[in-house]
Amino acid sequence: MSRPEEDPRVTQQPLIDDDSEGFADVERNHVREVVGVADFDWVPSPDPSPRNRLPVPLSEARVALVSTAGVHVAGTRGLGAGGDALAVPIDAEIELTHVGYDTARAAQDPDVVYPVRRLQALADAGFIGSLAPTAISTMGFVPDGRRLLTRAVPLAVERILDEQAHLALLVPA
Amino acid sequence: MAGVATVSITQVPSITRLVNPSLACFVAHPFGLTLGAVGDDATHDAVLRAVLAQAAEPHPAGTIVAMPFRWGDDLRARQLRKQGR
Repeated sequence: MSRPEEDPRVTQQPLIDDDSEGFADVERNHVREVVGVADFDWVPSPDPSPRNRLPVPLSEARVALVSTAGVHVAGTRGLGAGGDALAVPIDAEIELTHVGYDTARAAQDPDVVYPVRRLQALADAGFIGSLAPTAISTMGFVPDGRRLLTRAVPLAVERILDEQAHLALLVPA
Repeated sequence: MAGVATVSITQVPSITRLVNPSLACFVAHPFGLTLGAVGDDATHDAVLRAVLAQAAEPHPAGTIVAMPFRWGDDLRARQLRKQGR
């Protein structure tokens, strides 16, 4: 087995086949000029978040799903772009409200962005230990990223720790 | 206290490099179809297995791993040009 730094799939530099180069500028201009948030800009983090070791084998790990797909319990108010988060029971009937992608496809098959059913199947198959009973939902489009840190992140951390998850899986939309 | 292990899917490595999460996996699928096409359970399953498996690997912090998933039509390319949703 090769060491991680020798693995050709792994890099902290631009990836081969990465077709997203330049999209940060495209998105910045879109948010400023089309959405109308004139002072929008990215908030870069120069240092990576530290890695925490998975303390148990994956087959024993409790996985918490964190979604930015704008999921909310059916019949309740959707998330806005203010950086709030919701705790959504994984067995809840859901709806999706999001300004940044076409939710019609996910309304047909939520697993395309909110893979609760597929993660439960992986738990049933023994690939993971279990799925945490609550998913964390937020909106992928939050023009003021600092609000995510002050609003969504504390809720997410509290829930993930309360439910004794070993691994948080973030799935964007 | 030890922190919780994390792994993120990314569809846009160029933005993920700005955010610098501990570990991300690049899946080149369109926005709104992160795991794959509607009803494509096999791809949803394959993506999740591949991404979750990376969480157990000893990658250095800040690593983005390219996953072997590509999209068949031009939806993703149009989205990246802001010409499709």
